[in-house]
Amino acid sequence: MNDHMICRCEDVTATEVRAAIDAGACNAQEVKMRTRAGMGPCQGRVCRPAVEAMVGVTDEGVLRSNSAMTVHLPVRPVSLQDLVIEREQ
Amino acid sequence: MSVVLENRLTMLSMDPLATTEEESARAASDYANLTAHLAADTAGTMAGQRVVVVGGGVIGLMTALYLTRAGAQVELFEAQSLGAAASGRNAGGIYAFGRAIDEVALARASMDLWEDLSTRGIDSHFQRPGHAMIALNDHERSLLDLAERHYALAGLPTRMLSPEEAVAMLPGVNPDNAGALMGTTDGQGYPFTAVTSIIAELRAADAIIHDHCPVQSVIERGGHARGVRSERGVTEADHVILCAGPWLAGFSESAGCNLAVRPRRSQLMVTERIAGLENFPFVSGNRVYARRTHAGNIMVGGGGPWEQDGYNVTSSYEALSFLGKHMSELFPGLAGAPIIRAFAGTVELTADHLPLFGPAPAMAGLWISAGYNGHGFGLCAAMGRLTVDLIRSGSDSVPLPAAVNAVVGEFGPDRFNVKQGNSHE
Repeated sequence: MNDHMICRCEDVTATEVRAAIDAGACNAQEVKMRTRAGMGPCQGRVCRPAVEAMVGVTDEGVLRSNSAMTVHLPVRPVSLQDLVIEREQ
Repeated sequence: MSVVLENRLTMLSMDPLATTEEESARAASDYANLTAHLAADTAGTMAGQRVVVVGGGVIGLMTALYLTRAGAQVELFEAQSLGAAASGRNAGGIYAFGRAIDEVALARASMDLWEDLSTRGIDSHFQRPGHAMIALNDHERSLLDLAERHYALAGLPTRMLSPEEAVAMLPGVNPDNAGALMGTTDGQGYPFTAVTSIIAELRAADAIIHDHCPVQSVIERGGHARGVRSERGVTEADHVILCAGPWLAGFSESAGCNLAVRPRRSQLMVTERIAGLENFPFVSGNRVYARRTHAGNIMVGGGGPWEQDGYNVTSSYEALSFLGKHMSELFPGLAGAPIIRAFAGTVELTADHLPLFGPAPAMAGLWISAGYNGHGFGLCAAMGRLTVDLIRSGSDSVPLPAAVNAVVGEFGPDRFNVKQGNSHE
């Protein structure tokens, strides 16, 4: 089949993204909640433009809200222990 | 001078020193009565009734699901995205262990309903791997010993793990732990698929869902709620139920009571998928909690009164540092696990940490279900199902069944008005 991988981290295909949009997802954040696209180690750095473009080609929905997928910390994966900030007492 | 040992068991909402054996035993009988009540089929009991649900979080969606299954014609309004505030940004806990003793019966019934839903079309990734609460000092251990007794009286299965057993069952845990008490039947689920699946069933059953569509006002005629007004115009209904979480406060005037629900930020972070932790239960202790998702990531959270009030959902370095420090101490074996994402949600708090569930005093046919104090995802199945009983108690003049009243009787939404009246004393 002529399907495209949209999110390589979570193995989400264009067909799955299209199905989420057809089921009512009207922005990239809602696509993410339905498909897990953007939830892997790269946090959407690869798939975000593709998901936003796919949502953008639907009709009225996208006009109703911001289509941005939420951007989260950290910029790169960082270990649990390295998050600790030691403060002077 | 003796050293005062801290209690960092923040997930132990039950105070084992203040809870009586009578209260604990009552939790067992309340659960038995509620379970017997919930065995009755509700299909058709609300046939012909039109109900508007205000709020498309997991409480509103689950309420709509049970009303639809009871035969009601449901129309749901959500101001933003469905299931996207606390409903989509919580840790997915569905448990009874750790809860205050008077919430245990309701929480157990809700776990059972989640399990039932998972066998009847709702894709929640529901499972019951248990919840292990880990002591790191002798004081915490003594509290767990007392808690074990109370939960046993309440009929909730638990098991005390020795420090060695905890090390064997909880990969990476601090080997110097003082033992762990495990609620062996506690469950968990995945909010995103649960919400998606409920929406799909509602649409298949011809319920109408409007997202990105705020309700502007409740329409009242002759002392009875008759529907709502939104940008879609007027929607007529026989009943309106407000499930708007912290946004409920805006409806205080319509409801005729002080719907004081306060928003507070709660932060979480998530590791990469970690292999080899397939049987990892929900764990808590040292001021944090963690859950392994069905995908294999570990979520770490642990909010508290130190968090800021309001709807801000940006992550703070202070919180990430706090979570990193306390989780690394509790699970040194996971200290090197890479964090890929941090996020925050909004929990809804009430002054007495009890929900608001019942009729609004201002008009007949207006109902309230909100203020779940961070327990909404776990409790939503029970609260959605009990809403069928609640609304029937108004329209059919059937009193609320005793088994239901025993667990929700203190949740009256108008209770803060009494306190307001006394504020000048």
